[in-house]
Amino acid sequence: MVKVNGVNMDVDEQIAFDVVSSLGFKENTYVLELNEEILKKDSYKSTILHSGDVLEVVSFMGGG
Amino acid sequence: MEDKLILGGREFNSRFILGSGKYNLDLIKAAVENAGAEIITLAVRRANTKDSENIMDFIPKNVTLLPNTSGARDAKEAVRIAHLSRELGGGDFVKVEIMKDSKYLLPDNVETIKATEILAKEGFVVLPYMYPDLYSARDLANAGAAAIMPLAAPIGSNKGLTTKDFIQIIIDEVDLPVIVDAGIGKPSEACAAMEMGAAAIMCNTAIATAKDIPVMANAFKLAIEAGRKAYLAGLGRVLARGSESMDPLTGFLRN
Amino acid sequence: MENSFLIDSDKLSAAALKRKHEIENDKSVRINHMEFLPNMDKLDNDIYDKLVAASTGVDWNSYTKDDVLRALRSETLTIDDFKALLSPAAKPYIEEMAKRAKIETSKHFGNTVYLFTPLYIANYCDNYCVYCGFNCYNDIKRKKMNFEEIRHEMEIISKSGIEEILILTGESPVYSDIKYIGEACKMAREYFKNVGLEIYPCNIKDYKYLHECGADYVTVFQETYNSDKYETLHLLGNKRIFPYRFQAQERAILGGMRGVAFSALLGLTNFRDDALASALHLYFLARKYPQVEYSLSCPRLRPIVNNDKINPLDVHETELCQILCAYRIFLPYVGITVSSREEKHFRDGIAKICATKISAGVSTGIGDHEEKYEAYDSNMDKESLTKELENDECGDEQFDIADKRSFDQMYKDMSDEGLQPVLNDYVYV
Repeated sequence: MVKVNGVNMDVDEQIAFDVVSSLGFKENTYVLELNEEILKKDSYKSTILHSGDVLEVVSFMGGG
Repeated sequence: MEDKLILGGREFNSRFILGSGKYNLDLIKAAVENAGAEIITLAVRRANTKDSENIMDFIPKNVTLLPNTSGARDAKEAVRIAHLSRELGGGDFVKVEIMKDSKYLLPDNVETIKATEILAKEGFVVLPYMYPDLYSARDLANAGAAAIMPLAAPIGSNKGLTTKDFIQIIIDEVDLPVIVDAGIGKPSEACAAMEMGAAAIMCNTAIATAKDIPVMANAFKLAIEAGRKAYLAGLGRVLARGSESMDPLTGFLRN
Repeated sequence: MENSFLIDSDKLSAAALKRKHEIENDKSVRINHMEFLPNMDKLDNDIYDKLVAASTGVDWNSYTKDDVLRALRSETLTIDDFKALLSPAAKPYIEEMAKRAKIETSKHFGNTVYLFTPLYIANYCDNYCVYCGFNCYNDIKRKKMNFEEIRHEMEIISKSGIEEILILTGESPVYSDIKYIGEACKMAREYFKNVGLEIYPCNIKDYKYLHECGADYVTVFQETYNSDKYETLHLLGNKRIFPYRFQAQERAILGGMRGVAFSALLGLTNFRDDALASALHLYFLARKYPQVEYSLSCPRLRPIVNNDKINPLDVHETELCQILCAYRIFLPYVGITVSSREEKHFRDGIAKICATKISAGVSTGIGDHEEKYEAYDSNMDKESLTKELENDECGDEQFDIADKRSFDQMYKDMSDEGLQPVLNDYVYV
């Protein structure tokens, strides 16, 4: 199981970009953090998620 | 001489930093334009798939982004959020905002100083949001902050300049721009802070909760400009009422 | 109008006289006053640059009545407001300034006034500062007290009731070395609760040592902040090095001293420029070292042995009062010391407005406290007092004092003025 934005998902051994895209996130609007390390943008399509990974998809939103 | 706000070596004509929280993305452009703002704050959060819109598409391109680290509870988390915001294309400005109290949302100065030092060393232009305490302000200056952002009142409260005296002390004693942040509820309060010598005003809730957001943004713009002009002009004297009955003090002088 | 400072002594040899005249008349034989000597600590920071930027080229006549009134009504004064209060435009508002100054003083100090006395332990000096009685070419009786004599003086002073002492020397690291001064400090701690120093500027490690010996306050007068003028007045000796003297307070702070004091000697050059620079010197250091105690003095030129013509030129009492009120309003938290260079009526008056520290039982000579105190107590008139004091065993004074009141008298006078004399409120930490 991989935890994506706090939710456990059964996406072991899948590519990070594919997982995130399937959830409806649009390319270039987010940044990925895998196990508290920021992923380089050019590695999204080559990073494979493993069981126990914690993936955060973050973006800007309104704030003060 | 032109009157510019200088932050991290960058020059700004506007002294109004606009927040982008708590209102509809559609209104951001109008608010920015009516505010004449050149800096806008943003938050970094877990992306939400339900929002198909990206806030970045609504912010005019010539506006400098000031991502904050809201959500951080200590220096480590703030640094982590700052790194994410840079990766998201937020540039090198960051408003350090660290809160350990979810009821009052008061900033933790100690952790803020730590985060400021780390981020300034990494090359960020750090604008720390802080509780107006002179010693902390000095520590932030020594830690490499580009400005100090003391709160006027609890965040989102619209209560106005409740910490006025303490902000004045920081303005008087610290050689950095002081940006009054949080709690300003009315244009007159923004104006008063500028008259005191604040370098800029950061405002969000007062505008977001107004009946007409763009018009209130404009009202703040005018108030901030008026306050700045008054500060530069040097406030006139206030006549004391009545006469003083104290005996002459200088009668002893012989020549 | 200028003072004429240069005096030749007939006791100097022909060669010495020739050398003296050379130094006085030919700038090229004098060393570069802006260059640190090899053994001098040099701090690398921008305080001097800030001072120069803020204090040079001020057009004092550009300030108006409204600038003065605005400054007087401001809660915290900008540097420009302070300049307005020092300007000629403020002179007619001296009473308003005094009222505001009194309010500021009472906010920070209540109605207290601290009493202290200076103790000169040696008057040997390596410097040739043309206006000073101790200068190396001035024919005066020189003396360096031995430790027995110092102890004797301290006993007498301490018996009079004084608890705070300021130890002074002429500026001769050879005759009055750091060890000697350190021993005097240790001894002073046996008799007094607070020991200050007014000696030649020294290096950080020396300040550290003197602090360990019991000194906790360092006074250094820059004399004038106009470095070109400074060059023409300080012709020989370490004191000639303007920036080394300028950084003395900061070195003292780095050496662990709790407080530092500043001043220009008013009357050497444009007094407004020098008053401004003295206060800003303190102001910029206080921003960098906010934990330190700061104070300002305000000496005016006085006659010296062998030159009774020296005077403070255009710095009259009103101007001095204006400067002190401006200091107080701009820097409400600093101590202001008014020495016995000023007369009784001035010191009584200024203590009610803004002075926080007044000397009493003063002698600027060496080893003559006993006689002076006895003479004062027996109400000896001035002439016989002077005669009495022509004692070969004592060293001559640095300058003529104008207020010879004893400690007891001062304590009584200050109480009568409605002030609360404080001998000490100091806790050594």
